[in-house]
Amino acid sequence: MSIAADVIHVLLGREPASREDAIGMIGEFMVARGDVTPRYVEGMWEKEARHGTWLTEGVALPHGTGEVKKEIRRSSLVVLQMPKGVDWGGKTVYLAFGVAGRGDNEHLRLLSSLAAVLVSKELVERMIHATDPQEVMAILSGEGGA
Amino acid sequence: MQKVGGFMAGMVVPNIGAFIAWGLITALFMPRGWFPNEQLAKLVDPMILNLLPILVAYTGGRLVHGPRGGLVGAVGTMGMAAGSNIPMFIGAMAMGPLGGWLIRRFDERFGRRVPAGFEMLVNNFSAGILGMILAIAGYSVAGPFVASLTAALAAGARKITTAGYLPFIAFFIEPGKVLFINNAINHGVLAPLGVAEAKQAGKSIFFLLEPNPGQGLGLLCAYWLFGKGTTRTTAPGALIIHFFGGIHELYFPFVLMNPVTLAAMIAGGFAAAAVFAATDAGLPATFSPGSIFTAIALAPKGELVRILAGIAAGAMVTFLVAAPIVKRAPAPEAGAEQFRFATEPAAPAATALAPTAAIVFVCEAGMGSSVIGAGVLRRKLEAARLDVPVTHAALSELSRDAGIVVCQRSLAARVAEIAPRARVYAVDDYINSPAYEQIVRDLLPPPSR
Repeated sequence: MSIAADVIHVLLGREPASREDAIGMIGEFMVARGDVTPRYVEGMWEKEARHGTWLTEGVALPHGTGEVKKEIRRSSLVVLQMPKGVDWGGKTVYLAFGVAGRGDNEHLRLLSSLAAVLVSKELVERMIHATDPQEVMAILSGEGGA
Repeated sequence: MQKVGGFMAGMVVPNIGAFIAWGLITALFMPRGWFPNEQLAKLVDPMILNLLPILVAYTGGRLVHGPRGGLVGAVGTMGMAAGSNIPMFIGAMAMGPLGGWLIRRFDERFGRRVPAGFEMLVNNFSAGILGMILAIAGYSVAGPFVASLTAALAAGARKITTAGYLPFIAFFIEPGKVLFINNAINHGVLAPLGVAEAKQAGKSIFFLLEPNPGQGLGLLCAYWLFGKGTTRTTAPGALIIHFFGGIHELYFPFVLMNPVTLAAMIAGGFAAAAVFAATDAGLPATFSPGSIFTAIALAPKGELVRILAGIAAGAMVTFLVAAPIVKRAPAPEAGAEQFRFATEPAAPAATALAPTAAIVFVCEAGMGSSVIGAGVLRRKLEAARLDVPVTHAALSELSRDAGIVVCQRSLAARVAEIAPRARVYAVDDYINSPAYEQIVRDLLPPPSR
């Protein structure tokens, strides 16, 4: 299982002021590409405010609520690297994976593949410190020695 | 800290029913009970000395390593019970989990190396031999431990009284009671002082201190009003047996499950002793059982109001201090992954669950975290060669017949409500959670693979 390279978008070295801001960066990017409508981004903020999306040490998984599923035009995985860290509801996060999977199957595949990468602490560390987007790409699409 | 607290509650709470059974038997049939009966009163000592500590130890061991852990913890505790003349609850709460942990280490180290066909033999003998060692160790430790603890508390109590700071005696009486050395303190220290004083004055304050049911009343009221789950519903029953029947032991488990409440007991005992001292209250003899009725019946003319005032002060102060503590304590049901074992029937974990049951990973929306979590768990199960399907769902889609549910800690209580029979594992971290390893352990049948 691997993630198709054309779905992955890597934003390195960002410094959002807050997690809302971080989601804004991800959302803006997805909307600019035409992957999702602005309504999906609102869903991401909503989801964040209601339940939070902290996932594991240093990693968050912002995504929309069930109601905004249909606002997704094209599957998209935006990796936001924040070397200085941002406060994510009390925990510091360095990597946020903005997820928008079009259709249930694709969404599941995307997340399952992501899970397979995230279980490796080493790969997560490498993504946090990556300086070349290609390196993150390679890790996520399964060419990084996963 | 909270985890330890939750664990202690997990050992005690499931056994409160047994405490109540014992309390009822004692209140009814003891020599000065409601229906004194010499034959049935023979139940009292074996139950409190053996049955109740062993139940607590078994539950503690089972929390750590299933029925095998419970077994080893219980056997070890029997050694302590036989080696002491007071109920060894503190010992049981240490020995139970210790026994469970030791046998778990053994299983982890040697479990997989046992040649086929010998699993039963190795299983039974490993538990048996470890249990024997722990029982012998417990036996030789318990007696001296209790003796030195009793001596220390008694010496402290004696020093306080001679120094004249009477209310401070609460610092020795209240912990002593909860450790079940109440009788040693009452009859060994307080009663002799009281007898000497009563000879001259006709009454003594020392007879009032230990049997005062006020503090226990305050604590149980706090649980009644602010407790959660089982503790809340059992508190009123315990209260009746304690306050009217004079069986103080009924409130001790409520302190043991959350030791911070001991502060409330001491504060209440302090207040009660201060009121007794200020009003110069006293009784001509010690009152036993320590029920409100005995206190009233024994009170000399003119003393009744003072005595009731002291009891009320103990109850009020304890209640006020205990209420916020009880309120803040985590609900045991929502507590932790291991916690469910405590409240579940003793279904042998491995065999009953094994390959057919499915695991459902639940999150609020069923869109993100649960999918990731299910993916991680699936990999762990595969690695352990367990063929168990893992699905994911939104909380609202959860079936009430779900067998095994994994969820975020904050959802555990709601999951337990929706699927009451489910075994619930709670996670904080979706990627690296100890719950995943626990699930694998629980699913692996220990003897035959």
